[in-house]
Amino acid sequence: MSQQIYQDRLTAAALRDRQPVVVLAGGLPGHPAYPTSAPLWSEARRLLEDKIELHVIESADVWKEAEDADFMKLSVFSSYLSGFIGSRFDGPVHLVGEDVAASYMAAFALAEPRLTASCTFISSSLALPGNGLLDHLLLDADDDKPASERVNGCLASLCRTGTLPLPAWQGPDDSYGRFNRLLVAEGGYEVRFWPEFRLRQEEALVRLAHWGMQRPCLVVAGSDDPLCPSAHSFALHRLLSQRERHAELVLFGHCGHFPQAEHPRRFADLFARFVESTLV
Amino acid sequence: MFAEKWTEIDGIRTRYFDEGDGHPIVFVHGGQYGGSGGSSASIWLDTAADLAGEFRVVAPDRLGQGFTDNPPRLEDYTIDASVAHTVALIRALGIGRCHLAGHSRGGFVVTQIAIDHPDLVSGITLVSSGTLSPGFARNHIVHANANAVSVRAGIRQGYERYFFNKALVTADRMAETTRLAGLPKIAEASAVMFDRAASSRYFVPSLQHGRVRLLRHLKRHGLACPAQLVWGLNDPTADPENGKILWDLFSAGKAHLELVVLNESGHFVYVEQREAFVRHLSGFVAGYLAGAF
Repeated sequence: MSQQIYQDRLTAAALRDRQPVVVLAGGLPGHPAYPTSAPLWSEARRLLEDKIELHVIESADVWKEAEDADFMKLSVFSSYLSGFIGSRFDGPVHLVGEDVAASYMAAFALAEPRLTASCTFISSSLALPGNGLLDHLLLDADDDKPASERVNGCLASLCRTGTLPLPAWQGPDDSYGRFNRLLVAEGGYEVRFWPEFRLRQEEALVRLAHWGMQRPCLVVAGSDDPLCPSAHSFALHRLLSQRERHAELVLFGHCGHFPQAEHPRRFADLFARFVESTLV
Repeated sequence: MFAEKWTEIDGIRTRYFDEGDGHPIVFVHGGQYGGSGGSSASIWLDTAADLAGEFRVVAPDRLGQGFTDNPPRLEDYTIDASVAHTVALIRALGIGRCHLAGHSRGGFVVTQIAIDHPDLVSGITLVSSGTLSPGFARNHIVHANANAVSVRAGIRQGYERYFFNKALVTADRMAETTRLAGLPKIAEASAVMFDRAASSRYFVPSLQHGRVRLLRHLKRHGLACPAQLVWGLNDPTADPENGKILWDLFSAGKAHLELVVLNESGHFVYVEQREAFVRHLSGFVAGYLAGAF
């Protein structure tokens, strides 16, 4: 697609009542301590609904219908996302990737720039190869506890807001039965997920370093995030800034791993203003 | 274009700009007495103009800088006198509780006011303040090996080193800065600072003692009001990571904190990333006024 057509589509998008945004929720399907985070977007979505048409995609929902051979493969996720955007929207959408899903988002945006209006990275350790500090989550997981209690304890350890987490954040336990079964049967994340994830992440880093995202980028994180220390966000912002003038970093103080849920009103306003600023 | 206004603050004839309606934002520029860079409120005017539709925007020339009179006595060439002058101006203009935005050395001024006069301050924005971030600001490196052949060329060279995008060091900007730097009162302040040693006897000690006092307070108590730090990724005087270390000191308080880093901007981030700076500042102020955090 030529730059002019891309620009026309972006302008057309700007004229719509509500901007299309697709959020790729973080979390790890079937993970014993951190299985999901789509419900953490509920409040931000409610606050943004006048300005933004916000869709939250959870990787569990993508993969749960997949054939066994495709189960937990990022390539399946990218295909799904292409179809999702192509079938619903006339032009590019604003992408938001949270946590590990920010890495999916980057890989997708680099491969599909025509579908990408901007990229927002939430609590992402993309710039540091590997999987950040996610392994540390397992250290806190108490396998003897019921799943709901275990997940609640994990989410609580990631928040810096006393009234959180909310019960609704856990999601329905039975949604993840297949993930748990397959993960246990096939060696868990180390066999199914991380090898491809790390490969795609390395590819994304190389492409970002050489060509950049060439789309406006926003990096948001919490100052007290035990999974994604602020140094990770500084590194990501510097990487994105090498090739893209419109690259912004915002850290929230007194905030853990979930800025969109821990400071939802501030996040919603910040994000809406960022999206508006990309519309030229 | 905003009109210049004048008032007298404790015998000091003071220039300021004051436009718009709404919650007041007071912009405090950087630099110091006798500085050859011609620091003044004028540097904030584009930012203030962008915000005047939503806020009351006030931008004074600090004591002994821009067109504001120099301090009357040698021993008044201190950072504390600059703080006191700014507080007196806020009271004299009846501004009331306001948001303070301070750049570089102006970051010291606004943070000190927020600590000493919490009744006057609803929140602060600190912009690229190597004065407050750890270690020494690298101004001396920025200006090292200066080889300009005239005052005008020297000012331009300094600004080009401060800016990421040299094209923004425009002829208009340099004309205003050169005009200010050429004022007899600036030459007089420079003579007091360096020939009569007000700098080494009063200004630098006041800044060093004040800085330790201020940072110690932040580490123990944080700040009672919301605080936002905005930094240029390419600031040659202090890295954004240094800003982060400063920002961490604020976290002893319970008020909301934000750190914003913007790409392709040097020391004057509000000039080089004008739209983004205004967007983040107005969003932050509007956010806490609405109780968003």
